[in-house]
Amino acid sequence: MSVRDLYVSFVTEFGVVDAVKGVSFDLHRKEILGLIGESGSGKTTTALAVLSLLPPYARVKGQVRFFGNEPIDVLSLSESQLYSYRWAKVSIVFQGAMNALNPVLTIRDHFVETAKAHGISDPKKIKELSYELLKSVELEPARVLRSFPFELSGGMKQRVMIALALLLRPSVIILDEPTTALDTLTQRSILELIKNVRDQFETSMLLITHDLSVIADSADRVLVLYNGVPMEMAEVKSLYYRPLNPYTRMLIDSFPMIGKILKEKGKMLKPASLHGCPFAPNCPLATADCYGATMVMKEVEKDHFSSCIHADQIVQEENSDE
Amino acid sequence: MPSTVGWVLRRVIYVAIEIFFAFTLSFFLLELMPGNPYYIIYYSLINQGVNPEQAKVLAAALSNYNPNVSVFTRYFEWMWGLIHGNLGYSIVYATPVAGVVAAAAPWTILIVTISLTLAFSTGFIFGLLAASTTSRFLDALISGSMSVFHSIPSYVLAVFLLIIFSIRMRLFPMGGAYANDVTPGLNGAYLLSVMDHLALPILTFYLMLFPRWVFGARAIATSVTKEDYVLTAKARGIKGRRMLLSYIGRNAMLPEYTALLYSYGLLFGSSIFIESIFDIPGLGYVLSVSTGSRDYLLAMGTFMVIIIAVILGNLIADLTYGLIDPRARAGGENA
Amino acid sequence: MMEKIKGMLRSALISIKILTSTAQGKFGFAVVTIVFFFAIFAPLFPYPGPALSDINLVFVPPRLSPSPWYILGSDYLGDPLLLDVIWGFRYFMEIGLVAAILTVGIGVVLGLVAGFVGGLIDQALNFVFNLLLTIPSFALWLILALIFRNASPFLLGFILGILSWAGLARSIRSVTLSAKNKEYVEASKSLGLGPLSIIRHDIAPAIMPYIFMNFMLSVNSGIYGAMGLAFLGILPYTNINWGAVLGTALYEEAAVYTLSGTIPVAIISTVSTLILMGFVFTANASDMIFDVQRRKEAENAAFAKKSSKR
Repeated sequence: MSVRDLYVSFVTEFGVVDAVKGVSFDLHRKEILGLIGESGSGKTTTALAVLSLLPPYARVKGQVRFFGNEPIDVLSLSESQLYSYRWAKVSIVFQGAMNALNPVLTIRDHFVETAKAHGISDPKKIKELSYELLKSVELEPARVLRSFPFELSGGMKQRVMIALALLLRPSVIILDEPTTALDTLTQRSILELIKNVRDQFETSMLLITHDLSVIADSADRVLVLYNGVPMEMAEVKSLYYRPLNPYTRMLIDSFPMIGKILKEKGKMLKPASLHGCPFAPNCPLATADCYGATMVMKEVEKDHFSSCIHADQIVQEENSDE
Repeated sequence: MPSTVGWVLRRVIYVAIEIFFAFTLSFFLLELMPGNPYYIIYYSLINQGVNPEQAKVLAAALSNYNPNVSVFTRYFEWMWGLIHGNLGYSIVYATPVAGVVAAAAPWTILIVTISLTLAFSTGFIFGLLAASTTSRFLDALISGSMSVFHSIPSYVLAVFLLIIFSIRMRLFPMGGAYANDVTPGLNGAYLLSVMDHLALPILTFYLMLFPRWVFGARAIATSVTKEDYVLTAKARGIKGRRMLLSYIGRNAMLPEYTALLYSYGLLFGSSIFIESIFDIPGLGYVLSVSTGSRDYLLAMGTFMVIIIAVILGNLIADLTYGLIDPRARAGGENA
Repeated sequence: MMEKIKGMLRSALISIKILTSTAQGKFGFAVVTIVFFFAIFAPLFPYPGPALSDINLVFVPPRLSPSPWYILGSDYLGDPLLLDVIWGFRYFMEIGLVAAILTVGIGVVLGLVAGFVGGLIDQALNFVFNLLLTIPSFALWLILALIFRNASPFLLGFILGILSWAGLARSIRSVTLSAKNKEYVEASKSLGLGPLSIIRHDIAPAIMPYIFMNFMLSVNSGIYGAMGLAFLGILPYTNINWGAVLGTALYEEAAVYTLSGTIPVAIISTVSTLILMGFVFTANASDMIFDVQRRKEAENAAFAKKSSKR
């Protein structure tokens, strides 16, 4: 699928909040694209936009195209068309599966209703399907199906959500912070599971997280977002070893030792700028132009995009370092 | 709240203790009232010209009340009678208290149960609809009208309806539980007459109770709609009736269910206005009559019914909550 | 000292601004202001007492003779209904305020103690709360009104408030319990802050919305109870208690059977309903006042207006 120039703003009683400013990316088959940024950087909003699940007070501009048998312009779909698009073509595993399941329904109920909502009503088929899916996420089907959500642990619920997301064999699964709120051991196993699922079912994935280590471990390519503005997009290795945006570099350097960096700098990070490049107030390379620049992603090197207007300068520095 | 036998037993014992204390509290509260039936009857006899000695004897017999013993003695005597199933003798009605209460209770129970059931079911659905409508106008209209109804005092509403439907439009009778020319019993004329007479009281009560459930359902439904599992369900393709009922409705129902059962018994007390205005000889009416004439035993009898209704309501709510919320069943730690 | 007062005034002004930002809040605020205004300034108006009453003028429809005060008609004593309404504001406000202060005062203290101290005291208090809640409040008022036969407004307020705190106490208790277990209380404790300080800083903000809301609602229930008791004839009739006017219109004078008799009923009904609505709306709108985010935004808006630089 491809996203072009996505702009999302929320109209609230206190004013307009721009959550996503000009995000574009392509998601290829069997690819895991990581979407990384701090909280509030617009990651979840982007994901919801892809599914057209934003609340009515959101204003969306741009283009989201899904390439199935024929291209679908997602943002122009009608409500009923959206219901056949969602889950069948693109599904999502939400952040904090703690509360993603209806507390008064059993897991079986969740499977049955999802299947029925998409035209599968044969109980035997549904049972087969749910068994197969639960096994593929390494859960014991019989026990899990008759349980209520509160009887399952966080990790188990996350797996159930992944199994549900696979029900209709979508081409794309969005995983929003799949490992937050889980202990590190469970995190490991969920990440392994995600990769297995990708291999087994050949799905593309949009992996949203604030955790660089998750990206480093599981993603193929990554898009960095800051304050709704795309900062950099590249293959994981290129991003890590050759960050072409000062923000990315700060992320990589400071992770996970952000406290040490702050103490060295001796001051708190200034808040992001609302115009031009959001990182300008804290950027060592910032010039006056940065505050008025239109942030567009330019292909600075092969398959490596950056929106920093001083990207060339960085490239030069990198080259001279070698 | 596990539904094990031990838990149920403990709950029942707790209820028994509650009942005991509530009865005791009510008894002493009533005794606090100045004047007592003995003196009331005594003085009224004196005023009628009976000589004092005779008056004393008569008063003692009629009032069933011995002013010479302490309140504690009276309390124990009453308790003793209670355990033996004897609620005493009513001064005002000259019949056993149990009889008076048993005759009055059905009217109140009938009115309260019907109105509450109707108000809750229609109110809840209305509230759900109000929460799920996209029309801000409709939502504001519903909230606005419900606010008005909720603020109208019950007696004002009753008088209003009486004037409009009974006096002006002559649609319904003005008072009483049934017409004078009908004989009580399982016959058609009687039942029709009762329905005719209870229509307005039930309507009044219904309008009084309805807004509360609309507001409740609307508020809870609004917050439930913001929950993650609703958004996830939408993504999974759940919509329309299933979404409204199984997702929003069922989860919104949980807190309202206990509120419903808790409020049931208390309504027996609020019915006093409606019974007074529409002349229904129910518990509220008996309550006001008995407290006014210091007919302690009768007042206690009425109190007891109300208290038991309240406590029973709570008990049933606790015991059956597990039926609607799976988290409250055996060993649920996130009730 | 001046600074503190200025700060409090500013805070109050911001609260009012937030309160009146919705239609509901505007209505509620207007009603409360009007009621208080007349409650305070009622003595400027003639008192509807024996001096003005006239047997021939019982429950007459609105008219301008013998005096313009009869513009709303008259009550069961022949006194002008308008004066009943105006003095009624004062009467009911006194009752409502006394009842509310008692209810909220006792409820908050007991709820805080139960939630904060915990243990056996909490168990005992909780039992008492539940116990009181099983007795229907109106029945309680009935009995208490009969005990204190000659009820001045103050005493009446006392009766209506003295045993009505159980519901609020239970809510405060649960809020205190959950606030007590939050991290910021742990932090305060580890800093060595005493219990009173903890209550003031950590728990008070959580319970403030309850207090204000319940205060408004208690005033309402006080008015409802006072009117209701008079209506039933349990309180000695006083014509500034609108319930008495309503009661006599229905029972004694049988005025409701005539068209002109229904006018005082309609007027009383409207006035009482509007007042009750006003307080309820204020209660509803009040939880916006305690929303920290909203306050910050309102303060910023006020600041932005002042410093008209940009």
